[in-house]
Amino acid sequence: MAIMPAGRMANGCKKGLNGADIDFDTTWGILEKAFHEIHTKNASALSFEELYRNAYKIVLKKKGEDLYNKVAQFEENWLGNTVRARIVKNLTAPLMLDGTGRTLNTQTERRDAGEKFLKSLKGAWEDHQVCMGMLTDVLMYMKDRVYCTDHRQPSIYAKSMGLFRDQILRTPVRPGSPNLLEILTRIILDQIQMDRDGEAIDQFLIKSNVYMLEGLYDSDQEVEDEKLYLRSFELDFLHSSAVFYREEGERLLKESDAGTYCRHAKRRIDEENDRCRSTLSESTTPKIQRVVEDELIRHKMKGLIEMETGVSFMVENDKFHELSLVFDLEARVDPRKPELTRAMQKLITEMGTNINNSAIAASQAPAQPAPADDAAEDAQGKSKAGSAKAINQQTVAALKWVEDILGLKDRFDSVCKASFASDQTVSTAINRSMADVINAFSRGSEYISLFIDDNMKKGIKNKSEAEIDATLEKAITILRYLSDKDIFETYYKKHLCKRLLLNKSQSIDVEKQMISRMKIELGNSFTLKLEAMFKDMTLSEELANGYRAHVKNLGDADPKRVDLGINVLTAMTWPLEAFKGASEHDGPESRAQVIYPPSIDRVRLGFERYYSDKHSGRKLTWQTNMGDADMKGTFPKSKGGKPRTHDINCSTYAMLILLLFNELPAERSISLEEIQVRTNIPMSDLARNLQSLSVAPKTRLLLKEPMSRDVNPGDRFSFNESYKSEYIKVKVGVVSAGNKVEGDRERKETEKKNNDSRGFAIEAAVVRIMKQRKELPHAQLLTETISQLSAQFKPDVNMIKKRIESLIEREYLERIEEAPVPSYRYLA
Amino acid sequence: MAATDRPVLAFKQGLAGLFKSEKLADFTIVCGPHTFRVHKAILCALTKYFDALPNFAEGAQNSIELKAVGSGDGDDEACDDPEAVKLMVHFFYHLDYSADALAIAPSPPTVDNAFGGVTTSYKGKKKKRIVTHGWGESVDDAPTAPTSPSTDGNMLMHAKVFAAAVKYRVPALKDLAAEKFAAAVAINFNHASFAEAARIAYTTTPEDMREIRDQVVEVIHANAELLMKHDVMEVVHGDSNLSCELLRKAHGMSAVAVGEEDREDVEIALQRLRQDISGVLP
Repeated sequence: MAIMPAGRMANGCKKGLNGADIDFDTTWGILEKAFHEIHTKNASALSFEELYRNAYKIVLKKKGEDLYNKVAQFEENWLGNTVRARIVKNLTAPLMLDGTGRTLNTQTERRDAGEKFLKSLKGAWEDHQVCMGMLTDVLMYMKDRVYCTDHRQPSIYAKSMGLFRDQILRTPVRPGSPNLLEILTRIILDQIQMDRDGEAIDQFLIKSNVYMLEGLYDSDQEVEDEKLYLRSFELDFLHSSAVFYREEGERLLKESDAGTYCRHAKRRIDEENDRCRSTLSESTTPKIQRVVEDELIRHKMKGLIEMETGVSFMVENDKFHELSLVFDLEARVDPRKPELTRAMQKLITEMGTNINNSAIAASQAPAQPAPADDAAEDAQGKSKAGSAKAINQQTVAALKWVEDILGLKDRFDSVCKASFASDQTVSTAINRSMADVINAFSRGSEYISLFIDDNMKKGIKNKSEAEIDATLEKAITILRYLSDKDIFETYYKKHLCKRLLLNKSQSIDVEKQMISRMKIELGNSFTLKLEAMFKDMTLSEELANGYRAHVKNLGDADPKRVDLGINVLTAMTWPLEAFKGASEHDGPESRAQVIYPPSIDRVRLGFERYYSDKHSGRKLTWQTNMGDADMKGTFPKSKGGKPRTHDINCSTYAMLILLLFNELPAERSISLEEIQVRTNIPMSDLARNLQSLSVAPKTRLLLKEPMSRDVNPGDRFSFNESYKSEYIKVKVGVVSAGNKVEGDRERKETEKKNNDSRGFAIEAAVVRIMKQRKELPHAQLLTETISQLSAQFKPDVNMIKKRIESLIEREYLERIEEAPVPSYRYLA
Repeated sequence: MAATDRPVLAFKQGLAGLFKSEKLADFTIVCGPHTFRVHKAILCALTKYFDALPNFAEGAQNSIELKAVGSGDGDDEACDDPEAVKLMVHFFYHLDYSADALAIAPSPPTVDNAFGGVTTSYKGKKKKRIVTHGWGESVDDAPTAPTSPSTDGNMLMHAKVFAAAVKYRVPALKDLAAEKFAAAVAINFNHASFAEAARIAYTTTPEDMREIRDQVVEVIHANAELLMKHDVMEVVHGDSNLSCELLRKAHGMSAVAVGEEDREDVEIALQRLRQDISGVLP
């Protein structure tokens, strides 16, 4: 049986000095008898010295190979006859039939039958190991010298282990029936199933049998990864576990809620870990984990998340703990948590879309009759009031939208913090979805600006610094997500302009804080124009004070002199169109000079002189439509009363109109057309102001003929001597200038303007890039342009293409004809 | 003596003291006329053999009788020489031993180095260069030195101790005995005990224990006059392994085949043969 290595010449001359003398059989007889004693546990009477000496003698006589074969034969007989018979005896018939004894009545019976078998196998294995230990001590020389190294035979110990495997485990109990290894596997699996079902089992007993399987190999070569445990039991175990958990997972998804599922899955994983440690082999831990994770998590995650009690239910009901369970589960199988991330994104998109939709619905809902809160508007007829209400309602919708969006963000932020351990991947995904939601809403920019506007005007009143801070932070938070920052800038300028000029802002400090926050968040270039507006305001104040001092110094102490407060605004910085009413659509001729009465004109000219002294070469354009005036009006006494005076606050236009009546006898009336000619106020402004002065009941300083709601050509107006008011101060409201949501047309205009300015920005960027690069392929030019502009807005590719076309037409660029890909060249 | 050697020295002294006093001795070894009181712990530190005892009768009795040569049943090869066992036990406690010194036999005047110097043939080999430690000179340097104060020349006893060390699996002693054997053989191969030493080397250890067998083959090969001795020839006759090895040696090959090297050796031997033949032919 041993293969002789070639060239072993020493073996060719076989006869030793006393080789013929040795009585191998006698010596073997002594050893065999002793081995039998050892196997029947009677070794303590044997003399080791004698056995060793005899074995050594055989080796000295070069009969080691024969001895090896004899021992192997002896073990084979012993295991095959004595030991196997003993184990089979402990195998009850039902176990033999189907391996696990399913036919046995109760689980307890089944378990006991299984344990009996496991015990007998464990005993046989342990005995075998002890005996072989002793045998190899006796055969020390044969064990690791003569045979295994020289003849490439397994050592006698390894050989005997292989015999155990073949004789005990791999021999069928009887022809046609399963072998003991199969039965063993099935019994262990059955017991593990009992353990999973909560039945107590003898873990140590199973572990002992696992030790046996780990100590045996698939072949006599004893290759490390060919352990019987790995080759046979573990495969079956993993397979049956996969089947079990697949079914269990499916059942649980149907029967329980998501939270319970998560807890169960977690428990199962821990259980399997413990089981590997206590019952099976630690080496199986990662494998069974993988199986459970696959079956209970990886393949079920989608189903779990989409359960009725799944992630959206948890988010809606603030089930932070259960969410964290879901998170833990998925984090276990995939660090990117794709399913959970997707679910969160879907939820945000859904909830965000709802907010967006309800904002649109609210802004379009028919106006509801509102309690009269504004006298002027109240008087101006239902249609007017209705539309004003509608605008107001839109503002409310805008504020609600901002709060809702912030609420949404807060909700998911807190989920992320409480349940997902602020996981980077998930929070990035949440942020991306938030940005999508915010940018999907076309009025986002406007609404955010309105939100700030409302807070600046009303919201921050009586609030602590910390609260104000929080409010500002909210605005910035949303702003961060906004991609079309240029549109926001347009709105913000418009709203800020009105706040500043109309003195609506609660606190200039807070305004400035806001600007500096924006500066940090959006960069210098973004706030440049906004800061310029503040600068204009400061300069104007200084200018007005300077002018006042200047007038005083002139010594012109005319008490009747009209005092002038003035804001000098840089034309490019201020969005003055903000002051145009929604209905106005004037051509450039409306800029035609208004006619001022001499008293006013004097002041105007005086300031112009003062200003051009200070700054030569600057042209002042008077924005009469944006001013207002304080006047003192004296009314003849009514019967039995004193003459009444009222402080009247009204627009500059209204002042001009009223001043006309100073020069007229009380009863004289003048027509609309006449007023227009004499003041040169644009007709629409004129009509509006006249409406306020003659229709609104509380400020009816003029009488209109005929009396109707609208001002029509041919109407005549006269001073209302019998005007009465319970207040000294009267404010003539003009359909005015609050910051509200734009009407559709306004919006279109804003959009158009925005597109124009975007066009310029794109052209500028393209020219900048081309100037530097001289020649560039089309695609690269596109990407560079987009990246340059991304801080301001997301440019539309078609728009860029158009701008490039236009630049080619204007000969800034030319196409490179011979280039392999479409490319451009910069023309200096 | 270096300071670091002091603890070693102290330990060795303590060990020797234990042997002498038999204090705490918990085991008895009997061999022929000798009885030794020894310590299991010390035995187990040096040999695996005694590890196996607890499962057997010797473990229960705390004593073992090592069967001595000549005590009866004729298979003396596996039995022990009581003197060798004594030296082995001595070694357990002293990490060294010494055998009785023999008189150095003079070389026969008739034979000189006609068969090629031992020195050259020995040095030509690339392996098995045995260097003695603590015994002064290496074998190569003074193989034919007539006298050497550093060896007792008792190659027979060293062969026996070597056999005991192999049998009882005491690797440290095995190496030491082999060294001493080499030193003794180198100067004393003409002694009458050489034949018996060669026999011990070839019959009382398994065939893969090359250490002292190699010495025997080398010496016989290098000193052909040994083959004229009757007792030496008897040993060579009687053991086929020894005959084979000498034959291989005569062809310039290594005594036993060692894989690839062996093929090389055969090639060289054949080449030499061819050269010899071509020199003879006209």
